[in-house]
Amino acid sequence: MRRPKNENRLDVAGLLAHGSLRGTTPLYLTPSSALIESVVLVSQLEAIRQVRPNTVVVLSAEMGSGGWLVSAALRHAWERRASAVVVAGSTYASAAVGLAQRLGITLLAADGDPAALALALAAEIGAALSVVDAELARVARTVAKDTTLGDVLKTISGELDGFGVSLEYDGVVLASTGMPPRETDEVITVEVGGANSAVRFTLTARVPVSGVHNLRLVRSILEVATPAVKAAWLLEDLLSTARAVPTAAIAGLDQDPAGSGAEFEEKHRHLLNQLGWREGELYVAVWFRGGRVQDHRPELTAVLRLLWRKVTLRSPLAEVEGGWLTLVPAGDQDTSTQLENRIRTRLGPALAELGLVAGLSRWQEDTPALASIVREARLAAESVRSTGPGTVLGFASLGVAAATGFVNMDAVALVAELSLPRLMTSPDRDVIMTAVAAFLDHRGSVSLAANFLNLHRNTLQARLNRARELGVPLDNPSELLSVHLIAHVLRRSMPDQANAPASTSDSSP
Amino acid sequence: MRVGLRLQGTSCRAVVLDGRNVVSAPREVLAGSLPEALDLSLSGLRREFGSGITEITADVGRVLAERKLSDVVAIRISPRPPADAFHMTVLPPLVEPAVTRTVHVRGGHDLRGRPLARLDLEAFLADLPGILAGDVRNVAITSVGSTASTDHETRIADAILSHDRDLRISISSDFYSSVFRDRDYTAILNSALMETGEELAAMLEEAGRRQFPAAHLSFAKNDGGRAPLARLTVAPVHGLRAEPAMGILGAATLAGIPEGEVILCLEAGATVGHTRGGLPVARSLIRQGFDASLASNAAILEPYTVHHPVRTEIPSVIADLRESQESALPFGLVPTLPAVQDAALVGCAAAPLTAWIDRLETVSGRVDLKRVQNLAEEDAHSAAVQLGASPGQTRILESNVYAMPYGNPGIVRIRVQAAGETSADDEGLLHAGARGTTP
Amino acid sequence: MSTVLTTEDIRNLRTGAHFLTCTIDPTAIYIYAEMIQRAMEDRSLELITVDELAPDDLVVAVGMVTQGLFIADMPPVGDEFLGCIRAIEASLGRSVRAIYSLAAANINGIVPLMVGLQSSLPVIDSDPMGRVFPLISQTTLNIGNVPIGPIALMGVTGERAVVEVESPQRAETLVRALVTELGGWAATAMYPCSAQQLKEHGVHGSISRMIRIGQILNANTPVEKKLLMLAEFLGTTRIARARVSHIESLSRPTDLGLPAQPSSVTLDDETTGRIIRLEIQNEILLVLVDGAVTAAVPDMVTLLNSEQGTVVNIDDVQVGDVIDIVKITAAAQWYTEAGLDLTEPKAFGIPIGHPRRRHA
Repeated sequence: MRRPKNENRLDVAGLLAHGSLRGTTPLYLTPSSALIESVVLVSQLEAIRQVRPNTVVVLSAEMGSGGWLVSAALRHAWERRASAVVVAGSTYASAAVGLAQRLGITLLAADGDPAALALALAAEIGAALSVVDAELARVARTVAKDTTLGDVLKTISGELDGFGVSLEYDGVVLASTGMPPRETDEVITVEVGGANSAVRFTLTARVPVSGVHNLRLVRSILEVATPAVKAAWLLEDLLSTARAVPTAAIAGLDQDPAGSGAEFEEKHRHLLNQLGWREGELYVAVWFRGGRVQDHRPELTAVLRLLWRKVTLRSPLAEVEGGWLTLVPAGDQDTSTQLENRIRTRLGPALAELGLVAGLSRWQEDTPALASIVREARLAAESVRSTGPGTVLGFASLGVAAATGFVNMDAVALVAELSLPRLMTSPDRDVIMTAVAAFLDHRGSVSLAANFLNLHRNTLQARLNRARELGVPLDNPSELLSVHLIAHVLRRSMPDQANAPASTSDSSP
Repeated sequence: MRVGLRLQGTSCRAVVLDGRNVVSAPREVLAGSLPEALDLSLSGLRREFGSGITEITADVGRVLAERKLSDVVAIRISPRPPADAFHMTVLPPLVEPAVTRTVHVRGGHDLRGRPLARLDLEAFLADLPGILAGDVRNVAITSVGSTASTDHETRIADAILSHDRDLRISISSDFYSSVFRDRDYTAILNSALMETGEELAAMLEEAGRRQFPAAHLSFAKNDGGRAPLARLTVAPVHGLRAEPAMGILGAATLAGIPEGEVILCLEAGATVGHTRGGLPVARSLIRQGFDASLASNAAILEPYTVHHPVRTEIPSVIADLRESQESALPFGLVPTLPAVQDAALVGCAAAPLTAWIDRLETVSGRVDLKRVQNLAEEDAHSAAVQLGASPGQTRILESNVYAMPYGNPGIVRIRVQAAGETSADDEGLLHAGARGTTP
Repeated sequence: MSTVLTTEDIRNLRTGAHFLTCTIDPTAIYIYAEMIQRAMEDRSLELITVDELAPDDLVVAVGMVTQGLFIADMPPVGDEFLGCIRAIEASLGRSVRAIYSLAAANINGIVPLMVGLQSSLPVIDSDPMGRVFPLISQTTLNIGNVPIGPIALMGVTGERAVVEVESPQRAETLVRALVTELGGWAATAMYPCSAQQLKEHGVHGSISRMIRIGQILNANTPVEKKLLMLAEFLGTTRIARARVSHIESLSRPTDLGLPAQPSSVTLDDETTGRIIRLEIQNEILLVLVDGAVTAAVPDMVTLLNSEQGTVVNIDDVQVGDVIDIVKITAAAQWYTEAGLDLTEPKAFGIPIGHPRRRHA
């Protein structure tokens, strides 16, 4: 093949012989090889009308390879003095060959994806951007048509040949579609700016390494799709907020902790009806909250809402004072149990990651007031704060020990310092307090407590006597409750081994 | 060696072919009757060629066309009978007088093969003795939607046969056309020809047995193929107008072009046909102006016009078949074959066994389409084998799928042609070159 | 002016109805023409202009709607249209004064004449398409916001339906579904409206035009003369006289990925070297000359045998044939923005705007 005199200039014959056009089958070649200065990838016929002379016009696969289309493209390309037209496949293009010949324009059939060919060609002539732009503009147009986050992700995945695409927050997958991830995948991540600048959201694609995909193009596709992701997400969040108003109202109205649920309902019956709550319907309330009160990030609501969709789509999640609340219809005990399990399995790890816990109300057959179940859920959530992030607990599983969850531990510790100074400074404090706690846990039975602690009865008796010596008032019934409380609080701050077997009254895992 | 015959009036014309060579110029025997002419003709050939004759194919098209049509009862199955005389199916004038009675039966299917109405067999059975009273020997049955389901037609046919098993019955689903009146017309004409077909078959059978007991006897069809005489008694309509097809095949055989263009110059003007796979290119209907078309696969032979494209890449034969060849041919045509007196008779001698499958199928996608097409090809293959072709000598010549226009993308028409030769016959006819690997 | 039609008119109408839809098997037109000519032996058939009616007279369109079936394979029994007209009258509580054809070509260009003979109702020389389109929503009455419903349907089984519907697009969906279940076609009466509405929003001279086309084509004159007369009468232009060089049966994927009828034909104009391409979806939608759009639906394109001047069916086109490709401009309403929205190539799934669209 003849190379043009000027080695810097590319032409059709040269690129067919040695360059990026090698992957094409010539359907028609003009007798003299045309110069190539640029390349465009078009997905609409009209776009050809704007190309510069000496451009290779590549018809994207989505345009199809209909003969009429090839004919019209050849015509436009000829009018613009293009160098060549590249079409996908050649099954039906045979009738267009005659026209290419008549118009004197080279017609090539791409063996693979025309977009890949256009990119390679673009790289060769240093004009990659123009091709990428055309392809990306099309992707942007396509995703802009989607209105839900799920659809947007699906579309992006579709554009990437079905690769896994996910929206993530701090490593937590909020929504995903496409192929399941594999160890070997190439991970490409693009940041999705949140409403505030604390950017923690990412749009992630997982591309099999074996693939022939241009990672740069994958990244660019993610980038152009980002606004659509945000827009769809914002729109959904806005709708969710609106849907969650009745739920938020329940939490907002219940400001009187002393009032009974029934009174609350009586008082606000009209409003509740207006909000769409119907009497006689059974719900389970779910309350999410942060492990630490101050640990509140504004974007968490949106994050939690996306996560919540993994549990159910129907019940809106409301941001309320002290956490997030949702009311899930539950007609029977099984549904309620399933809900708890589902939250635990589907959200547990994510909640742990985000530093959140969840509490659920009890299922009750006699249609409890909404305010009551909201309180139950909140109490359950508050009581597991100390158990650690990721814990999910039903109110029914709460025991008396939960009361310690509401006690200010620092205050109790301080009281202990003041009232039991000898105990607190004693080197065997932990062993003594463990013995006292076990003794009180077992309602004053030395045998049962010794059994529980795996100690000889006499050993335990000796330690209890030691406690008495250090000023612990074990023989004054009016003070026993306080002692029990102090014992539990102190035991929580002990190293694990001092605890020996876990207390049976402690339901936390 | 193979013999081609043409019967007409009280005469019989014959040619003998050895491979692609004419070993005995066409000769005509005129006698007092057709059986006599046939017998004289065949006995002459026996004296000359003895048992070398293995195949005898007769073109009976002219006899079928000249005999009076038998009377036919036309049974039409549709959801409702015509509401007025205008909406009755109209037959071409030549056939119309043969129909002595039309009977309506409720039934019929849509294009998907779903019943549009339950077949009213009870009412039909009640009327049957009356319908068959008198001199009725021939019945034609046509149902709406029988291209998609033959169920109603065959059930009515079975009902008639259980009443009188000697009746000649022709059902329209044996013929493919998407137009009701075409199938109706074809079934009626076929039925009206069956008596003549039986008579011709018996005559040929008898003469053949007497003169050439070992030879296969066939009749020539309008698609350029042949079929055993037994088929002449049930589907004589395909023997009508066989001559154009045989003309194309004969000229192509003499010129040795299994794929190409055949120009036949007759007194009436020049005509063009094509061959593909050693047989004339055929179309599934014989059109007749504004009248109903005949639903029979027939070779396409069209007038040669001033616009006829001259294509050098395609082999071509120009045969001058005129009685008098003194004047020049039109359009400056020059014959490429030495003087041929009767190409159609050569075609008869050379005709292979052919079978068609032409039907509607409902498919769910490409894979399903491939499946039904393969099935149709197998059916066509076995149909040719049933006609007497040897399985190893049978090939598929055409296998096409057509979508139905205006909607119903799942319904396709599948049309397949198979052709073959009896194992006895291995003389290297027109298709032999094309067959390649099979010697 | 009111005209009493003759059997000669019907013969010409047959040709004209075929000319304006060259692609389709004309058997059904032939069957109806023959039927009408027989019926005319003892009845007369009156063709009127819409002006001859009182402005508020009730008029209704009659036509066949088919779904994948030639009417010829399941001939109408004969009472279907009368049943539809009665159903419309019962639904609206008024008498229909006259009928008009749903389309101005093909089977629906000729069917109303048979209905006129059967019902003794006059046939109006107007229609809502000015040609034929595949969808019942593709009408000038739709552009003029004339309601399509109620629609009466009756199939070969005698089963009937009246569809109370307002949106022509919904009507299209509902009627298609019913038609499939009725067996593949249904006689229909739709777009019941006042004579005034038809006058304002219809296309006029539909039937007389087909008769005139038939007169020109059936006359014993040379083909060139016929083309000249057509150009004068209809403003037709001959895009090319060209030889068929290639026929494709599939250039766009269909739903099932199945083959279609011939879907494109390439021709060579041997005198100028131009390459002409026809895109076909049951009918010719697009003509490209050297790749440039020269005609596009709603333009009508028909093919004529270059020697006899007879209409060529797409199904019969063969490589090597020399054909005249003729373009006929459709009714003016179709070239408005609203008209093009309904009928330009995009409406048929071809992503190309009509050349006459201003901001194409």
